[in-house]
Formats: sequence, C-alpha cells, structure tokens
Amino acid sequence: MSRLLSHSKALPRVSRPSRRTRGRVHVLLPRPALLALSLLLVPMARGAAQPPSDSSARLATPNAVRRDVALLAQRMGLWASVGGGRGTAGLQCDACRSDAGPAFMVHAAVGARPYARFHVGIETWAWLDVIGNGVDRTARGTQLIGRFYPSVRRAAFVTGGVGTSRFGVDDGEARFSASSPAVSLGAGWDLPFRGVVLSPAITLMASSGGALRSARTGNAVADAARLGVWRGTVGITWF
Amino acid sequence: MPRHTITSPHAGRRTALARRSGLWSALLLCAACAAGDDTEAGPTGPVADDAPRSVALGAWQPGPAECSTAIHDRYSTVGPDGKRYPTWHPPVDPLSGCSFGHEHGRDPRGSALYRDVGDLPFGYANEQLDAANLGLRRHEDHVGHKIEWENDIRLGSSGGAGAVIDLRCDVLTKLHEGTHSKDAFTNNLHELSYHIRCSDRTEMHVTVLTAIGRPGEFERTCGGTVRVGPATPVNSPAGNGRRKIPEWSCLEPRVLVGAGAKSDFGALHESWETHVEVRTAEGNRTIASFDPYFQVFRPSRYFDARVADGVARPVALCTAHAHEERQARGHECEAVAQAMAGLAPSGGAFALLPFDDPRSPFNGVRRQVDINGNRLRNADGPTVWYTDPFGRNARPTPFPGSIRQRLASLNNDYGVGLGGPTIGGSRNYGGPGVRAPN
Repeated sequence: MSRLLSHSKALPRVSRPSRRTRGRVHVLLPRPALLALSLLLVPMARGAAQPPSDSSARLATPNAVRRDVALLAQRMGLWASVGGGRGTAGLQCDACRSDAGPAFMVHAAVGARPYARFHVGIETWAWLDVIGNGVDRTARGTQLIGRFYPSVRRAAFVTGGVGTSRFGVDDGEARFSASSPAVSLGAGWDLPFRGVVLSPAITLMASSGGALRSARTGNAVADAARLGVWRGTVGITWF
Repeated sequence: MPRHTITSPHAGRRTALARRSGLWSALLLCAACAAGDDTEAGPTGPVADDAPRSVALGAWQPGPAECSTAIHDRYSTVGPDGKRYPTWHPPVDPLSGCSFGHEHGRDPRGSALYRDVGDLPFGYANEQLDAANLGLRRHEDHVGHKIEWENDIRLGSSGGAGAVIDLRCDVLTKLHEGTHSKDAFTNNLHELSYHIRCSDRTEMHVTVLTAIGRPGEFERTCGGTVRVGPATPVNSPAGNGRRKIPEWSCLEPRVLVGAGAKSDFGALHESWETHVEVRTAEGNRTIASFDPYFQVFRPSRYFDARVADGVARPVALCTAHAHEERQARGHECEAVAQAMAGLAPSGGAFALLPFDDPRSPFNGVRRQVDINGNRLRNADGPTVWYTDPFGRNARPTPFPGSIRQRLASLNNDYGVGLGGPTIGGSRNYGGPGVRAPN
C-alpha cells in the first residue's frame, strides 16, 4: 500500500525517522521556524513522553534539533504541500460580473495529522489570470482546511475548508476588489511517488457577502458579491 | 363619445398592474365592454376638473382636421403643485380616431420606472420658474416634449472596470427639444426630466430647466458658434453642454450633390448635449450630475442667416435647386416628389410641399438619447432634496418655486467613467397625421 497508508498505520508508534525524512523536514521549514518549533514542541513532547532529564542538553546541537523535530513531526504528523494546476474564478453581483475563465492556480499548505484519517492545516491559494489583454484578474484566499480519508485502506480523500477569499481586477488604473468569507469542498487521491505523495484534487470554493469596492475611491459598487472558484490541481505532499 | 376616467399617476399604476395581470385583465376588460362601461383606464386622461390649469395645458392649438383641445386636454396629469399639466399621449386618440399631428415619443407606461414616477407633467419646471420669483419666465411649446426610456440597459466601461462592473439600469427621460422653430437658436433653457435606477443602487429622479450651452447662440453641427440674438428670457443663465443645430453652410456641401450622388441628410441632425448638476444651497456642492445627449434626425428646420428669423425648411431643399446641377437627391427628396405629385398646380407651377405637411419626411420623429455618466455624491445626504428650477440651491425643505428631487444616499464615484448605450435610435415615432411642428 502507499507510503501514506503505512505512515498512517504507524502513527501511534514512535519510530526513528529515516535520514531522508529528516532532510525533507529541514528543507521545508526555514531555520528560524525550525528552531522556534523545536523550542515550542520538544519540551512539551518530552514532558509527555518521559520525565525531564539532562538530555535536554541535546538541544544545543543542530543534529539533535533536527532529530527531535523530525521525531515530533513523525509523531504529530506534520505535513506540507505545494501544488498547481488550472482553475476558473467568476464573480457575480447585482452590479458586477466577471465571467469564469481558465487560468493558472497555485496553492500551498502546512498542517498536522491529529488522527490517521484526518488532516488539518492552513492553506493559501491563488488564481492568476494575469497574462494578456492588459487586465489582471486574480483570486486568492487563505483557509483552514480539513482532509478526511474515508478509508484507511484507500488513498481517496475529501477536503473542505473555511476562510477568506479576495477577488481583484487591476488594469493599472482601475482597481476593484471584493473580500469575503469563503468555504471549499473537494476530493482527491493520494499517489505515492518517489518519497512524496502526489495528490490530484478537484475543489470548489465559494464565497459571498463581500462588497466590490473601487480601490481608488473606496466606494462599493455592490454589497454582496459572490465568488465561485473551481480548481483542478496536483499537489506534492510531504508527510 | 366614450368617457375617460380621472387619471393620475396612481391610476396609471393601476393600469400597469392591470396590464401585467394578462388574461384576467383582458377578460375583465371584455366584460366591462360588454356591460357598456366605456371607461378607459390609462396613464393619461382628464384629471379632477377643479385642479388649476398650468400654463402648459393651453400651449397647444390643433391644426385643421386634428383633435380638439378638449380631447387633447384629456391627456393630462396633476403635478406636484396640484396643477393640471399635459402629459404623454399617442399620436392618434384611440377613442375618437383623430390625430393630434404630433407625438411625444415612447409611451412611458412600459418603463420599469413608471410605477414609481407616474405620468410626466409637461411644463412643470417652467411653471415653477414663475413661482420661484427669480425674475425669469420661460414657457415652451407643447409638441417639443419628447419621452424616451429603456429598461435594463447596461452601463459599462473599458479596461479593468469593464472587466468587472456590469451595471444594469432602467432609464426614463423627457426633454423639451423643439426642432421646428427658431426657439432653440437663442433659448438655452429647456425642461428635462431624468429618472434612472441602477443595480449599484444609483437612483435619481430629477426635473429641471436645464441650461444647454449659452443663451443667444448655438453651435453648428460642423463646428463653430453662431450668435443669433437675445434669448428668452434675456437673463437666461448659461449652462454646460451645447445645442448643435444644422446650419446652411454645413448642410450645403453635403446635401447639394451632383448627378449620380445622394445627399447626406444625416447632416440634418441636431444634438442637444446636456450636463445637469444638482447643487446644494450650502456650499454649492454638486450632489448629482448626469449628461444625456438628445439627438434628433431630419428635423423640420435648419438655420440659415439669409432667411427671416433664420428658420429654413429642409423640405424646400428638395425643390429649390431642382434646375441646378447640384441639387438635393435621395430617398427623402423622392418622398417629397411623390407628395408633390398629388398637389394641384398653383399659378401654372406645382406648389411646394409645405413644411408641415404630414407627408414630409422632415418631421423629427426619429430620435435617440445617449445615456452617459450618472454621478451621485450624496452618501450622507437625504434622499429628497428641493431645488430651484435650475437644480441649484438644493435644500432638504421646500421653498417657493422649488422642485422635489429624489436622489439615492450614495456616492457612486468608482474612479472610472461609466457610460451607457444609445437608446431609441431604432424607433420611429411617426404616425398618421404626425407632421411638423413636432
């Protein structure tokens, strides 16, 4: 079965991460973040796992930090993902309309696995229709996401999220944008590939209630703009 | 003679609702007919006889074989001041079958704004000028009141704004645009009603005497200003916009053409380009502005300084140069020739087709309105303002001669220009008996 599933099944156990795994964690997390994370999590994790001891002196060495963070990542189930693909974004309101058109879509996320079949994280995404015709249309958002694997034996998952989104139009002179709460729902599949997991997924995001405003004057064209985003992407996930 | 019902804007609303009720209203109407009830519900018709008559109500006199003034006066409504004003009517009275000889444009009852606006009282702003005690008096003829409207028009822009803004509006407007007489050669004050409601909450209901350009002069369609003489009233204020009127030196090279060519009667075209502002008494702040352009094709006059009063008739162009190499040619002149063929010889020569003959194609029944910018700066203001007849001195409370204007409490400045379409250009408001002056 996939690497993911083997990881999921192994979650309750604390196993020593491989050399490769430690390297990936190091690459994904910037050094300051790594240190901060280790300072925050290592004592807490150790407190839970065993009584304090003079072994905390190991924090002083980079190798020890890496090892502990990797260990905690394995135990806490940290994961990170980046991806890209195509998507459409369309805006509608009583006084506005931006027809959905295909454009590039990118996203990135980090999170944890509190349970074997459930992942949580924070994701940021962007839809970029910025090539040609002199008018840039962008949609972007940040959301808390959850990913649920209906079966531990299968790599299919459904995902959902809540957060905020923003749609903008900019031609260099006229700029309009609408920001509003957003929800998302999607489904995908995990495919192990050379030590990572490829996750093709389709996601629908929708938001409503934001005012479409002119950036130049601040006046609202409409009070309740509705944004709909479809995306078809492939993510690369590190567990 | 069927009896008209007392009509008011409220009655007009009833009619609009009845029309929407479709089959049931038709059945009810038939039942009423069968019962001998000759009541005709409509937006127009007589109002309470005890309502004082406005000056405008007596401004029209019929020509031979046209409807009587009594029939004409049935198409009236009561203005906000309680006086009775003429309002829209069809070219032909549907009850008597007589023709009024003129038209007022599009039937306002089809406008989505009609339920809110009601019948438009023609000459109300002119009447208020009398009451405003500003030392100005200006009353216009009846036939010049022209209504145009369109539902669900799109206002847009180019570039980024065009990529996202999609305003939908209903617009109903009426301008007094006299294109048959010398009036507009000098007089720049003309009554304008402008009503618009858009999907971005923009809403304006404004009636003013708008000053279009400067008094005493007009602009030629091919450029340049023609000074004519004193305006009525002589102290008419100047305004923005302009009245572009055809003048002989502009027409001559386009209309008089050699054999094998056709005259460009498109040059016989008036463009009344308004710019209206509603300004506050306190601070003289502009809280609303808009600038529709009203255009008339093939009017019954052009300006020629060689003619008394400057009023020359296009219909005469089709015959005046008939024996010269360069002459007016084209469909319009063929229509004139056909009409003249039926005229009896006069003193050995065929009579010229009178300018006011219903068969003349030069009658101004084709028009269009360009819907341009609609600007509101009234975010913190009330929705009802009272202004003088020129749209100035806006206050929240009425005063003598004031006109009630309604503006949405909104600032719709998005930092981009939003323009609308041209409306009415495909319509022909001619009808049986319609003729100049129209």
